[in-house]
Amino acid sequence: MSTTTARRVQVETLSARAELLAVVRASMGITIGVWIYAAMMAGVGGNAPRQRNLLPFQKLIADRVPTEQRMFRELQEGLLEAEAARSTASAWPTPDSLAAAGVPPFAHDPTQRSSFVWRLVQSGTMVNYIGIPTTAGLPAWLLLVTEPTPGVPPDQTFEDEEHHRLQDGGMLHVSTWVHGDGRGIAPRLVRMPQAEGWTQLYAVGPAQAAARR
Amino acid sequence: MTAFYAWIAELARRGMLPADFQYPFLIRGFLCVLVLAPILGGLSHLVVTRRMAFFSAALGQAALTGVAIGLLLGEPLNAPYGGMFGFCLLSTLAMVYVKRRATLPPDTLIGVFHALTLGLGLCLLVALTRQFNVHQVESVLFGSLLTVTDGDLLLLVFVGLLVSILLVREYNRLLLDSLNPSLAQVAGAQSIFLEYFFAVLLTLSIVVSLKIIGALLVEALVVVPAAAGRNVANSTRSYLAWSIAVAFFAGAGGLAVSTRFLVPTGGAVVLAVSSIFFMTLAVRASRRRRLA
Repeated sequence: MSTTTARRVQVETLSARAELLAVVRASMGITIGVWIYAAMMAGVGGNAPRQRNLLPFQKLIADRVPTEQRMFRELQEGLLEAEAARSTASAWPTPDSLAAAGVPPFAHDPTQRSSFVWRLVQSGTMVNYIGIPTTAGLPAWLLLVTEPTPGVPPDQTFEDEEHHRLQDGGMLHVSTWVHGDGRGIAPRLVRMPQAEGWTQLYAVGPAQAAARR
Repeated sequence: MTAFYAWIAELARRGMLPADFQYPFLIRGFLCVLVLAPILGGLSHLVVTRRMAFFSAALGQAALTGVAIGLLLGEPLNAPYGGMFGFCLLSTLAMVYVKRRATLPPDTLIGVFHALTLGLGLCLLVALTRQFNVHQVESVLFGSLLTVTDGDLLLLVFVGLLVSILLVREYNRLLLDSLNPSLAQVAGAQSIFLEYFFAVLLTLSIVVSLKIIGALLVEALVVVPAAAGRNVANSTRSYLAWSIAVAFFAGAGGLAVSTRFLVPTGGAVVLAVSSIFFMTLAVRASRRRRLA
């Protein structure tokens, strides 16, 4: 018959003061660490400051090649014309009608060697103007417009690069996108371009636009 | 990494992998799930055993405030890690200290922290919308695979390895302390140290998974895998294995749903893990009927 011996163990818990001191010390270490990290991140050079407020799929047009900068500028102009037509006619103009009115980039430009086939695709509140290049090696372009949802109170967002107000007071969400593989793009509605490899282009970026308000 | 992504995309084009793997962001997402599943699944059953589900929810909200603080400190929108790690770790230390020393019930105290961090986060976010487009902050709140970079993946792997090594080293003591703190103390485990240690491990894991799951929903992947595992496990080892398996299948399933239906990744992962939970509940009920 085996005998078991009872073992007496005295457990001493940390005093409240000692525990508080340890917690304060650890907290100070964390705060100093974060402070140093934030200071180092603020000093990161290169294009980091400009890219700082953008997500990975967003770029500034200033960092793109001149041909893309030109197309971007023309698209901004074309979008304003399309919005004006939408305000008066309550419908988005077709690329053909914009081309007939001589609105770039929908109209033929004899100074440009490259040409695009523009399509208007709509579904519900989503509107796409998709430009697919006729020659290989050029990017595709997309103007993505989201109309206000019917019955929803007016959007109070400030007007900026991504928010344009119609003449009837409705607020549009607009964005400009480019896709490197232009010939591989199908002319169908794009709801979430970033999930399909498109890159969103900004003129000044959301942070600078917000700071100007 | 570009060559690796190109190789995987080529396999997808040849039909050897699902077509979705043509996109680098999805490959990154899948790799993130591969790393996250063992970490969150491994911690998950200890979270449930130690009754820290509400603590995890409060940490998620603290991360939201951490994002806001990081952005206000001038960190990049896509990687406000200083603010997130700093604020979450400070909140964790404060919550554990107050929980241990105050006489109020723990859930009441965590509720106070929960409300405090959420209130602070909302106030700071209002200030932030003057600097950032609010749509950009949404990706942090609800999780977005599209914002995950190679840098995030590297950080996830590093933190994952660190958490795994530390967890494996202290696992037995943590488990014993979770089941019977008095016995653990008699066996030589430092209960106070273990409580802070586990809370810090949990915090690190939650912060690195935020980009994928989102600040508002991260608690689900810390709690539900263990809840589902508990329904079907018959030993501690199988409990751990089931938790990891559920976390992995929920992550992979959530990714697939998120890509197919263009919904936020965090929401899709939570739907997937909840579905698995109800399936395990049904399995448990049918087992009981058979035994009865």
